[in-house]
Amino acid sequence: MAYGSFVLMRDLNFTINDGDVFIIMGGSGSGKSTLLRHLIGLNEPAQGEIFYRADNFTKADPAKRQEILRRTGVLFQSGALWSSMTLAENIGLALEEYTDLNPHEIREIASLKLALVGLKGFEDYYPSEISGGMQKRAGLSRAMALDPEILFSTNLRPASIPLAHVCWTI
Amino acid sequence: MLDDLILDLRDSLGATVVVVTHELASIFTIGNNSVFLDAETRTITASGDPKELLAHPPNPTVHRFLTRGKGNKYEHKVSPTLIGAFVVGALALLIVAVIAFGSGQLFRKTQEFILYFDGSVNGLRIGAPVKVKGVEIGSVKDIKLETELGSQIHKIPVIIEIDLKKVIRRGVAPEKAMDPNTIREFVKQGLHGQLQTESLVTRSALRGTRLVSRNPAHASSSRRATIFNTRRSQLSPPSWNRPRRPLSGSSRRLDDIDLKRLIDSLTKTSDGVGQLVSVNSPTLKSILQSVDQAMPQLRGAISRLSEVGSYSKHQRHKRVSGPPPDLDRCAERY
Amino acid sequence: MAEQDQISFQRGDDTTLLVRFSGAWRLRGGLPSASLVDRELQSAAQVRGVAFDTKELISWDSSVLAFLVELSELCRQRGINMDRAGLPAGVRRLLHLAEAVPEKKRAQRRGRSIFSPTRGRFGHRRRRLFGRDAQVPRRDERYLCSALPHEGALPACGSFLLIQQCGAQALPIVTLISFLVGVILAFVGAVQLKQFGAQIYVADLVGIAIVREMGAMMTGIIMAGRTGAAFAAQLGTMKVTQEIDAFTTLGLLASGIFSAAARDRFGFDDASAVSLRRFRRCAGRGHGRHRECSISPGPRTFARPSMRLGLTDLFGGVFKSAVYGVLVALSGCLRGIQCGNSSSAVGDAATSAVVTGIVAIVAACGIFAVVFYVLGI
Repeated sequence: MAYGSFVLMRDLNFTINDGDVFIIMGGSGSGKSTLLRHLIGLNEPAQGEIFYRADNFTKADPAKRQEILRRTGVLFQSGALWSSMTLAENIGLALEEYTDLNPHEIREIASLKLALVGLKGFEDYYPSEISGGMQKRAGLSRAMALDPEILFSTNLRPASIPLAHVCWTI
Repeated sequence: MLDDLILDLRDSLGATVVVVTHELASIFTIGNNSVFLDAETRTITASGDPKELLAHPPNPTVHRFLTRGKGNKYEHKVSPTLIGAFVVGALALLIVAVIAFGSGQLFRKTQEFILYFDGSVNGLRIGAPVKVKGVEIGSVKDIKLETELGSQIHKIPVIIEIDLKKVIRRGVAPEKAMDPNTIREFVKQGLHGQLQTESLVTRSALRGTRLVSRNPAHASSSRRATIFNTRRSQLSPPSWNRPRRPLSGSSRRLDDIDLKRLIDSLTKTSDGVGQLVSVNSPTLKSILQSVDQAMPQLRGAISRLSEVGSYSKHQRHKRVSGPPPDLDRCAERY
Repeated sequence: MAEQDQISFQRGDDTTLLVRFSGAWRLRGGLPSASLVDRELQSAAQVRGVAFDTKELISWDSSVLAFLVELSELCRQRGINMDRAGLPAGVRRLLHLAEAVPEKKRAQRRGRSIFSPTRGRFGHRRRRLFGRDAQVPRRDERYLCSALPHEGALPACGSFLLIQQCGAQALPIVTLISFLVGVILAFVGAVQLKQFGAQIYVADLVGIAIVREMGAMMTGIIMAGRTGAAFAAQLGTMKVTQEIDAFTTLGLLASGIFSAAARDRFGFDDASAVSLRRFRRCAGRGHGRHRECSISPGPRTFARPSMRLGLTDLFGGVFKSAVYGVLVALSGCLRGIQCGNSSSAVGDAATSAVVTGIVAIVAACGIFAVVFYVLGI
């Protein structure tokens, strides 16, 4: 992994097995998030390849990549919910794009997903109207919208902020 | 709790979970496989089950990491150079502005005077220069109109500001150059102000100012005398410039000339001349005729005179006194 | 996949309906509706229980779950017992999770924003406008939605909202500042021209200056500050909260589309907003002149500029303003996307957007001056 000619990390060889809960850990600045971005295709590796099962992700063409990405779900820090859509719409967007379900069914599934993370009844709330912990859970449910095989996640609990006391309720 | 949720979902749906974190709690709770990225060596220095790694750390860094939490530091970069340069620049700009706009105004000493005009001050504007013999020494600060109840008399007080630096009086400090007492002396000697046009281009650009006040009553400073200390003093008639030759050629201005009278007399003259040279004038005709007649006689007289003159030259050597007898007779004839 | 492959019914004993799942249940394949079971339940009287057989179920995902949730609701209504023993363990657990939290009572929503009256109407209309078939416009709309400042009650947004926000809502401030500039110009010009008795020309001065140049430029600069910074800040925040990354990983197209849309709308309504400025200018100029001079201007003053200004000037000014609008939108979007990863970076992006916008406007103004001169406009 590199930024231009600055090599961030080298010789990264590892395998993630089915059913693992795989932790990528390291101190701050060690490049964990960058590695994650590589895995989900937001950055390109300077050298090397990433395989999803038998599919070569790095060398795949955009269409194939999208197909591979559909099998993954990403939970971003703080959820990264789209702020002008309700929770149901957030989840529903992926469903709209990749399935042929009608709006009623989509709404059903979105409600279901939200219920799974304990946010039943919050379908029509906007991300700004719910707490941070709830946003994260909603982000999780969005990541799981298409029942992915792999779930990528960053920092399940937020880093401690030295200057302020932040109270999270999950 | 999010961890548990994820685990639940993982168990139920059979998904794989990849977590990027440095939270030890999460790592130990849910992780069953891991890689450790080392910032210094820039590569993976450990992998496997986190609990295993804790029990048997392959290297000190991993051990340190797993037995102590790490927080995030936030770095601020404050550049003193930039702030300093900004402040210095602002100061410099301020100084330049003061110099440019002040151009000495701040430390200018000025003295104010009032001039009273009886007539119209049409064309005089605030800011118009005050000049003495062409030297600008001040400007008009304010123009007001004073009226008295029940009388038709309007007076126009014009307040002018004289820059003391511009007036040099030998032997006297600059501040005293224009002090009211001195000025009163001047005024008694004939100092007064007059309005003058600066440019003829646009008639509205009257700029010069001098005072003409013909009412000696204003000479008394009773009305405003009290304010000597502050700024006002009263000027009274007459002249400002002395001695002033009204007809000094270079300083003659158009409105000194009484245009109307000039034009009137010019008209009369030309009328007279016109009459005179008019072809039908009988006087002229008779004059011309008589001159015409007189011409040949005149010619004859002149030639005889020259004869006599040359004869008398001969005679001079013989007789000094007495006119030549022929000349005498000629003279008698005419 | 045909529904028959996935689900079938069988009567067990008299009071039990056996629901058999088979095949591969995938979300993409569509959901069978629980009304199927409903029909079965109705056709067979006296059903007291529902049981499941999933031996032939190859793979499943949330579709099963959704179906079962609906079914479970039905059963609850009818008072029919649902025997979950035949379901896979994972399904059972998820079902349990889904039903665990009771339906939360809808708490009082935040105060209604000024847009709420239009919510219902606009929402429906927008959704109908962009039908399911139009892929690109729908995505486009989504991005517009995400990018806009959000008041908590906005439904689907769309270009009209952008127009409203960038154009109509900017009218007051642009009018105010343009008016002030006109008045100041009139004042300063009059003071100077008075010395030559040429006050009458103040009208020309202000009229030409504003219509040709200053109107467009003032509008452009105000827009740069008002809207360019807003775009940059919104996009920057989206970048910081990784919303844009979320779009990308989901395979949805990049925000290039939305930038384009925003740009077009913005340019358009900026131009229209400026044309309104013109008339304000006239009023401002006349007014300023009147106040300053002791003589009443009379109708002559107002008529003056129209003698010297023509349609070319007007359209030139409007054209310029449209270009400035595009420049401001572009710089705002660009700086937003280039934003860094912290909150201070968002501030920097907003600042940078305004500066870039203004620089671009000034450069364009210079170019226009040359071009117009050459073209003899």
